[in-house]
Amino acid sequence: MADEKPNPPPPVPEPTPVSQPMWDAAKEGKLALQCDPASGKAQFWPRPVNLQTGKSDYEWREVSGKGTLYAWTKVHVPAAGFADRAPYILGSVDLAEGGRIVGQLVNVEEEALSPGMAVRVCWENRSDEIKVYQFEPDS
Amino acid sequence: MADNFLRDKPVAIIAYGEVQNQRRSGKRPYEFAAEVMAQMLERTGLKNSDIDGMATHMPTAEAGNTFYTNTMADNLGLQPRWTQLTDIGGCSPMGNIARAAAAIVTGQCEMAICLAADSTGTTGVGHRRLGGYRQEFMEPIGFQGPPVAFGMISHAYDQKYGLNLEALGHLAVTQRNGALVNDNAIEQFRKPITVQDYMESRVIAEPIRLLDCVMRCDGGSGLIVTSTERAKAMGLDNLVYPIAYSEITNFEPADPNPDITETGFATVGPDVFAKAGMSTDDIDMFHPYDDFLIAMMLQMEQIGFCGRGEGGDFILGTDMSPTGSLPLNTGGGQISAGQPGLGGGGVNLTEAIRQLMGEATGRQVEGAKNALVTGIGVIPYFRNWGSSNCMILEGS
Repeated sequence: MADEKPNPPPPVPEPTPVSQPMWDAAKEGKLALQCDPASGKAQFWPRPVNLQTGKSDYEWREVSGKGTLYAWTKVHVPAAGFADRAPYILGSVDLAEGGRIVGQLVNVEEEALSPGMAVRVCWENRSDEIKVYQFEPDS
Repeated sequence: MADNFLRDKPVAIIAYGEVQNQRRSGKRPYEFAAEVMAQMLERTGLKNSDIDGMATHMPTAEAGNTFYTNTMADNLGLQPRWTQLTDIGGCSPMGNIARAAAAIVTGQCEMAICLAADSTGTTGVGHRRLGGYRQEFMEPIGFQGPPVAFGMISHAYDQKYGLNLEALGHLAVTQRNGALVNDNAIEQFRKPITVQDYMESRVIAEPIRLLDCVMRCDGGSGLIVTSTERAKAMGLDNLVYPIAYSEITNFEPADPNPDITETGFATVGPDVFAKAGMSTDDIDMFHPYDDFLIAMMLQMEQIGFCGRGEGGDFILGTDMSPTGSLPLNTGGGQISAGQPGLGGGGVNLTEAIRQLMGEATGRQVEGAKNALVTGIGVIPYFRNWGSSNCMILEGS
C-alpha cells in the first residue's frame, strides 16, 4: 500500500530468537535449516517446533544449498524496495536435503529456466549483519 | 469427521444485508456494519436489543484493535451473551454461520448477527511488526502480495496439467456479466469485458494478469441466524438453511515439499457432500470464493465437479451463467464486485442467500433449491492457501 518513500530500500529481515541461527549461518555464507532428527526432514521457515513432532526437538543442520527448481514466477509489479530490480524472478527451490525455500533467481534469464533444473544458493549483502539467500544455476 | 449437526436444519438464516462496495469510502467497518444491521432489522422487524449473539471477522482496517468485538458491540448498541471473532481470512464470514449455529443449538444464544465489514480500500493493509513468516522471509525477497503466490501456484499447475488461459478468461467474463446486473458491485467494474481483454490485461506476476486478481475495496455484509423454531414462531417463511459444513486450516503442515496445486478442498469438498448425503450433481448453484480466477478452477477440481487437470475443459464445456447448468457467482464474485477486505467472503455468501430467497433481480436462477458456497483464507509461505471451507445452503 502507500509507501512512505517512492524508492525505499529492500527490507532487511529482522531475526527472532528462533531464526537467529539461520541468519548467523547466512552471514558465513552457509544455509542452515531446522531438521527432524528422526526422519532428517528439513523445514523452512524456522519455527518454534519441529513440524514432524510438534515439539522443540529440531536440530539445526548446515545443508549444501543445492537443489532443483520446483516453480517460479517473474514479478513485473515489484514489492516495496524492489522497483530497481523489476522484473525479477522468484524461484521455489526443493533443496537436496529436503525442504523448500523461495528466493530471487539471479544470473539467469527466464528463457533458460526449466522445471527440475539444478540451482545453488548464493548470497546478497542486505546489511552489515544480514545476508539474504538467492539462487543461481548450478552448472 | 463428526456427525452432521446441521442435518435436521436446527437453525435458519432469516435475513441478509449488504452495502455497495466502494473503492475508498473513508469509512470504518463499524459504519458498514451499522448499515447492514439496519437493513436486517428493517426486514425482520427485530430490534437490536433482540440480538443476543454477535460474530465478526477480524477486518484489515481494524487489525491491531484487540477489543474489536467490544468496539463493534458498542457501535451497534448490542449486548450479546455470545460473541465470536474469527480470523481465518476469507473463510471467516461463512465459518461464523457454523459457529453461530453451534452456539444456538447449545443454548448459548438464540438470535445471532454475523457481520463481515472491512475498509481495506481506505486503510491499506498496515505495517505493524508481526511475527511469523511474512515480514522475515517473504517481503525481503520481493514478495509483493497474493499475485506472487498465485503466480507460483499457477506455474506449478501449468507444469503439471497445462494452464488453459482461455478457460480462465471465460470465468472472468461470466463473472463480469453478473456484476453488470448487481447494484452492489463496485462502480468501476460495471462495464463488460471480453476474453481478449483478460488475455491482454497487464501481467503482474507471470502468469497472473490484472484481470485474474481481486481488487480490495470497502464494504460489508451480514446475516442473522436463529433457531428454525424461533424463525417459524416469528412468522418468517423465506428461510435459508445451512445443511452441511466443513472447514480445514493449515492444510498438510508437515510436508516440507508439498504439491502446491493441492488445497484443503480435497478434504472439505468430499466431507461436506458426505455430511449432506449429496454429490456435485445435486448442486444447483456454485458460489466459490474468488480471490484469483485459478482459485475457482482448483476448487472445481478438488471439490469434485471434474478431475484434476480437467478444470479448463470443464469450464469451457459448462454454461455457468444464471440460466446454465451450474450458475457461478451470479453477482460477479469478488473479482468483479470487489473484495471488501477480509469481509470479502461475504460477497459470495450473500449472493447465494439472496438467490435462495429469490431476490437476485436481473440474475435470478430459476428453481434453484440449494447452493454450494466456499471460503479461502490466508497465503502461507509459498504453499497453497491456508484455510478452506464449504457450506451447502438450502432454500425453504
